[in-house]
Amino acid sequence: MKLSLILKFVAAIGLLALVAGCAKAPGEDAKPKQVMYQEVYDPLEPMNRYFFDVNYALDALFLKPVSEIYRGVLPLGVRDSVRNFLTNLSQPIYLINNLLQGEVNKAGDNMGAFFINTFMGVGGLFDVAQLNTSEEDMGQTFAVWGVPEGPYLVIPLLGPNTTREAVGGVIDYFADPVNEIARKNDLDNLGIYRFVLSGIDARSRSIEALDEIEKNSIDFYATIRSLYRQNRANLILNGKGNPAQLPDMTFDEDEAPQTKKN
Amino acid sequence: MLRNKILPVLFLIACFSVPAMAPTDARAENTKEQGAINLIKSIGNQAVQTLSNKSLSEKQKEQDFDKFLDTDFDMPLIARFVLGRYWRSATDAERQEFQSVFRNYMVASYSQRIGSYSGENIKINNATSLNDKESLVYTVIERPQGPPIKLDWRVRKNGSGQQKVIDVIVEGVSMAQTQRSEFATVAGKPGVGVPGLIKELQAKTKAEGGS
Repeated sequence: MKLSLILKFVAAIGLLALVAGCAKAPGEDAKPKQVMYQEVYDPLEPMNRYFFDVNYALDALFLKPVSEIYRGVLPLGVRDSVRNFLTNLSQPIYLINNLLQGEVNKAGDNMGAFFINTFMGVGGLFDVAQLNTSEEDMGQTFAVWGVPEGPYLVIPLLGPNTTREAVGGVIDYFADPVNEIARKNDLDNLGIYRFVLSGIDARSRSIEALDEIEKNSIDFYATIRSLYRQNRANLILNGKGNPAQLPDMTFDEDEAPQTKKN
Repeated sequence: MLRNKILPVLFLIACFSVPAMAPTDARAENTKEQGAINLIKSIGNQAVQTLSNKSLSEKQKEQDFDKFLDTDFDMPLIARFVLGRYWRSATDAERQEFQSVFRNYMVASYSQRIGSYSGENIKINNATSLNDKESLVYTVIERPQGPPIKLDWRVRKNGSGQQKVIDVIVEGVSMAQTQRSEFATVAGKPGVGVPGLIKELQAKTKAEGGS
């Protein structure tokens, strides 16, 4: 019940974002402005900042303390097994996405990892296959197909997203074969449990990193937005980023920085 | 018997093959990619040496890091890049102030991490050319716990021919780009601009115990 409400909400926000995204287009004349525009496409910034604050409060109240307890109580081996188990359950949807992206070899790895770890790794608790399969979701598949990412979107409970990733996430949820089988066996909420546990696992592994980013930034929201989008771009390219896509750091020599060399 | 004869021969081959290989090394030494690799190698060695040296106080370690930042990183260029389009509208005085404030801010945020060193090591893989001045050095940070981290260093030859680091890319995330995006957002708020950004950076630096 609750889930369908959340999903409706997500869909509504997605639609809203799409409309807002279509309403504005960058001006053709100002070139530096346009570069910035493409880099930080956030027409819904006031609403996003509001939900960012909401999520920040929820994190401080629930997710962070729970993750700290989780990390403090369970030894690393157990936590690794939890992660392996969750990854194993996701292999079927990774496989589907790899096939949709035309990555046949990687899809083969997903298949191999799933069967080896399920049968030889005690239902996926141990990563026997060691195939290093990467996370593949519908948002990445859309990106490979050339769908633009759309406006940046902070969704309550779910955190940073873009319109493309949010729509992809909803499709993943319903297309996931493991969730589908669970639903047929009266385990309707398995998808939510997986989602919550993955959240705790990921949060427990990024406590210090996120604390540090927050401490060192003068605008935490803007830093997270940039980190999120760059990280997504890296995932879409499967870590094989094209060096030519790095930002241009050349300046005209005559306009070189004014400071004198010490 | 046979072994006794072979060993000196092997030894001789070894002796001659080293100088024979040396010229190719020397040639590689001249390319800017090799120069960039050497720069990162020296930064990595010095950093690990400083961090793992238990006889140095935190303060001394911090001073060593200040030195890296000034000698091996092109701080004026990084500062200019992270200010993005606001560089154009800034006055000369604002530009200079921003460059010095930005440097102190970087020193303060990096020196905080010094205490958290726990035996990480840097492994240099290879380098690729980006254009006639820049190269990208691929390295991996090996940690005693947890998976290794991919770290790429963007190195650029400056006007006087020195190679300096201009960006660090962690798992595909460019630090310079992240900061430019953050700073543009702060400076773009109504009534903030470059002077406001400088003030926020100064406040942050102070909060972190820097100058």
